[in-house]
This record gives sequence, C-alpha cells and structure tokens, in this order.
Amino acid sequence: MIDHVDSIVVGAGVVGLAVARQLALAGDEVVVLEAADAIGTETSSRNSEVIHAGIYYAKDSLKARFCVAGNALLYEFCATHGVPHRNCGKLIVATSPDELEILAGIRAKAAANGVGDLYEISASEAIAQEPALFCTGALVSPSTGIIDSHGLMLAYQGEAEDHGAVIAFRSRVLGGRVLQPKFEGIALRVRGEDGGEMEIACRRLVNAAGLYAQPLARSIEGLDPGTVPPLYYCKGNYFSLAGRQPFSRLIYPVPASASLGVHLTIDLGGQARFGPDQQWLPEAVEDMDGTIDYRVEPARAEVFYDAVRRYYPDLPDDSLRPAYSGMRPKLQRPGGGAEDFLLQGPDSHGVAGLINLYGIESPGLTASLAIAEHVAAMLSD
Amino acid sequence: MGGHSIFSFVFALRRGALPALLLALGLPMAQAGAETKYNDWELWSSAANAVLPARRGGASPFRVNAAVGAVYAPDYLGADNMTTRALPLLDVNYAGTLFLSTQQGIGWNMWRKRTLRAGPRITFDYGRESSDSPSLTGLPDIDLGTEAGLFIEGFVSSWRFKGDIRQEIGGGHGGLLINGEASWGSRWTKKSSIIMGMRATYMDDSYAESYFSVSAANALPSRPAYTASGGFRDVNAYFQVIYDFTQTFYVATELRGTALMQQASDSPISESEAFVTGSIMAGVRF
Repeated sequence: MIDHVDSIVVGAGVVGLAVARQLALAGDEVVVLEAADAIGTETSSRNSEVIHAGIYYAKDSLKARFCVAGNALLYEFCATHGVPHRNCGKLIVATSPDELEILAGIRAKAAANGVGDLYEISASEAIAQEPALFCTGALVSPSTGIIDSHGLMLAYQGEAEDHGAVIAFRSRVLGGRVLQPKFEGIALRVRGEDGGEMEIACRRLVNAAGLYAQPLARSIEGLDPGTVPPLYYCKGNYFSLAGRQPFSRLIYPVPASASLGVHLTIDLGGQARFGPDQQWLPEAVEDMDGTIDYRVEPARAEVFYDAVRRYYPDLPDDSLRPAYSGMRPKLQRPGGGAEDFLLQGPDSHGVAGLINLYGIESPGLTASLAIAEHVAAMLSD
Repeated sequence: MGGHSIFSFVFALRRGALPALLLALGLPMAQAGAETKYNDWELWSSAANAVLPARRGGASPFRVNAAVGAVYAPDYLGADNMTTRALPLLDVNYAGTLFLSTQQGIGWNMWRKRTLRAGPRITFDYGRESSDSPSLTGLPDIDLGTEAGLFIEGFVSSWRFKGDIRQEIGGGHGGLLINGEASWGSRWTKKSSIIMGMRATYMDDSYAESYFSVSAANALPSRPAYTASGGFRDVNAYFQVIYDFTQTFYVATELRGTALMQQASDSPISESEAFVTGSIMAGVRF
C-alpha cells in the first residue's frame, strides 16, 4: 500500500525549505524528504553566507531575476523573523588599470538587472574607507550583506512546520516512477532510518536535491532522461585569516570565469575568510552514491596568497588556515560559459506535477524566497 | 571515620562469585552508557557514592550501592543546550578489593591502607554521536571506548585527594586523560553531610583531537576548522549534600560548576565555556 500526500519536496536545503514553507503557507500538505539527519548539510551550509545584490548575472536570466527579487525578500524576511544578518555592503575592486573597464561593465550589467544602487569611488576614497586595501578603483554595492545561513534555514523550517509541513530526516529517495496515466502523480521509493524501504506517492514533487538533483531525476521511471542536464561539481575552498582582520566590508575582486573570485567575506562574528576558489571534479556526476570529499588541501593556500595580495598586499605570511569547503552543483562544464538556474516543469519534461531544480548554486541562498514563489506559481499553473 | 563517616570505603576481603556478577552487570551497564552518553557519570553520581555505611558484621562479602535520580547537564561537553536525563548508579564492591561500578568502572583496590587505596581499573568512555546535537552534525562519531587506568585515593583528616590516569585502549577517542581532585567533607547535621571539592582534567593531543578538533572537511562557516592540542580540558568545583534517612536509605544532591580550559573552550563546537550541572539521586546501601 502506498501512502499519498499532496506535495513532496526532496531536499531540506535552503531552497527546499523555502519551497516547503511557500507550499505550506498556501495550505498544501507537504512532506520534505531529507537524506541527511539535519537541514542544510551540504551546499546550503558550505558557502560564503552572503546576501548578493544580483550584479553579475546575465540580463533577464533566472539568476539575475531571482537574486534581485530574493535580495529584497530576504532582507524583509530576516527583519521580520529575527534571522541574524547585516547589511554591511561590499566593495568590488579593480587592482589594475585594465580592470577599471571591467568595473564599468559590471555596473552596467547590474543596472540592466535592476540593481541601480551601485556607485563608483576612486582608489583614494576606497583606501580611505579601508586602509588595508589596494585598488585602482572600486564599486560600492550597498545592498550586499551577510547572513546566518543556518538561522535562515531554521526560520524557513519553523514556519513550514508551523503550517503543517513535515520534515523526514534520514529518508533517502532511492528512485521513483511516474504514475500517469493511471493516476496523477509520482511515487517515490524511500529508505528510512531503520533501513526499511517504503513507497510514498504525491500529486506534486519538487526535486530540490541540489548536488543530487540530476541523479534523482534520472532515477524516476517515466521521466525522459534526455531532459536531465549534465551535472558538474566545482569545489570551492575557503581559508580563514588567523588573528584580527582589518576590513569593515566585504571585498570582491572582479569575477573569474566560474566564480566571483577569491573574495573576502566577514562573518557575523567579525572573522574574515577568503574564498572560494575553483576546483573542478573531472567527470560529470551520474549517481547518488558517491561521497563528497570536503577536505581542504593546505597547499592550495599558495594560490590564495597570490590572489588575495592583489587587493590586500599586507596579508601576512602563514596567516591563512584551511577553513572549510563547499561544492557547487554546476550546469556549466569545466571551461565552459556560465549557465543559468534551470527550473524544469511539465512544459519541459511532460510529467504533470514535477518540478526539477537544476544548477542551484550561488546565488541560490539569496534567491531562495524568489525561487520558492516561482516554484509555487509553476505548480499552480 | 565512625559509623557514617565521610569517605569511608569498604575494604573487607571476602570470597564470592564476583566474575559472574561482573559479567552479568558489566555488559548491560556498558550498553546503557553507550546509549545515553553518560561520559560524566563518574562526576554526576559521585555524591551518591561519597558516603557509605560503615562495614557491618554480616556474612556477605558484597557491598552494594544502588540509586536512581536525574542530572541536568549539557547535551555534550561544551554544548549550550541542557537536558535532564535519568541517572542510574550501581556500585558493587566485593570484599573491599574488587569493584564494579557505573561510577568508578571495574577495578581492583590493589593497594589498600586505612586511608589510602590505589590500583588498576577499567573505565568506559561512551563517545559522542553527530546526532547528539545539531551543532555536531557532520562530525565523525566517537565510538564507545574502553580505558585502562590507574587510580589513587587518599584521606587526610577531612580531606580527600584523588587522582587517576586513563588511556583509551580500543574503539574510542584514543587518548589519555589525567584527573586530579581535592575535596573536603564534614558532617552538617546529625543525618546530613556536605562535601566541597575541586577537580581538574588534563587531556592529551589524541583526546583533544577527537573531542574538540574540527577538520576543514567537516568545517562550516558557522563551525570553522580548529585543531585542538593537549592541555587542561576543564576545571570544576562542586558542592554536595548527602542526607541519610537511615543507614540504608539516602538522598544525594550535587551542584557542579565547570569551566572549559582554552583548548576546549576555543573549539567551535564549544558553545558554552562554563556551565553548571545539577543532580539528585535517591538510593540504598547494603
């Protein structure tokens, strides 16, 4: 016998929880299936914890739209739900005359995305504000901030549960099958904490499995595997700064190819960390069984010293310590061009009630509320 | 050390079926501890074991101290969240020589004088699981470990001095702990006694690594990487009151304030540098 529920969200990361909250607020019966024993144990908790403004993304892309909308929604949510955050702002710095042109391009791209609050300052103004900084010019992003990502997820979880959502931890989805045309919906095979397996069916399924979204989608019988995009992992390593740090705002260099560059972020406790870098895993990810190696190789610090000293020349020797790492679930191939978020609904794959969320990397945390609103709208269409 | 004297211990040497009892009681106790993570069992239940009735002239070589109660303590050493847990105590002493105890482990009073005892013992470290607290999510579990060690306990007037060293020998943290303790006890009323004491615990690098380090692979923005080294783990001070209803029945209470020392308190998993635990137990001694 199969249990039935209205909606299932797979993945209790920041986006899965935001979607569950959104559906629960709308009165849905929601079950969140999470393989780990806690919320947000992977991408959602292994990032820079930055509230992005929406500056860098292609015009009209989902990343740009959701980030800009999500930024405003997130600040409002944090203020009304007591989530620790700080609207500290950031400097995007050019470290050579050539990069001044890139700054101009960044400002134009931001404006096209609806981020109209960026303004330029001279090198001397920037250095007056941040005496440890070296730059040839800078952009100020007033709407960038930092957030306690775990506090945010707890708030999403709390509100979702207050409205009837149930989060089932240690519940790994092994596969699924589309029930149509006999019935409307999708059945999932789930292995519980005790190792036993059960099948649970739902009318609406949101695949928010992050690093495992593609393997999960491929495991659903009845979903055309040709609709599932390839998944690439790109690891980001962070190093922390031992001792007191001299900056009051986040410092970002002009972006690199697959990340925003080795930037300096400050946590809510005032500690500084640098990262993330880019460490591509060579092969596309095909299954859900692999374990992710989150070790940080101390030797990678050498690259960080070089990158950071471009804008923080007085960074002392031996001051960087391996801090943590995260994994980006990318649609972008190593060496390829930037890819957008991919939210696939029935119009794309033909399965009623199924939404697959692919490539939800940065700025997924900032965009989480906007993504949730969009997913809810897709499901109600 | 009169009829109900503070810190009196049973040293009588008698014969009996101890091995069977050790087997029957020891395994279930270890299992219970593994499930409930009573790593500080020895501390929390120490009030209930502090006052024993004087040796009586019965034929049995066994002295038994059994109690139940509750302790209010952190989820794990360094946790901010406090919970109340049931606290059982079973202490069986055979002929003053061998003991099996949820508090003291399994040991032998190899060297016994009127005011001094010392010997080897086996204790258990019940480990820690990442599921014990959301703050530990993603950290490796620390399994149940068996510790081999030596203890010494002596009395000078109303003072008691204790020390022990224990090395984990299989399955758990893999490290070494050294404890030192001094306490003072006195009759308070006709039926009650008080004890005040201080205790310090030293840990080696392996223990510190297991319990307080966070590798970069397990680090998060909210839980940065940290390498803990050996050093003093904590110091604590306690105040205990034991009330004897009869020679057999008693109630023991304790308040204990603990401060983590630098290597432990600086760990990102240590949410609270200092905390107070409280316990109350009711028991029987015979």
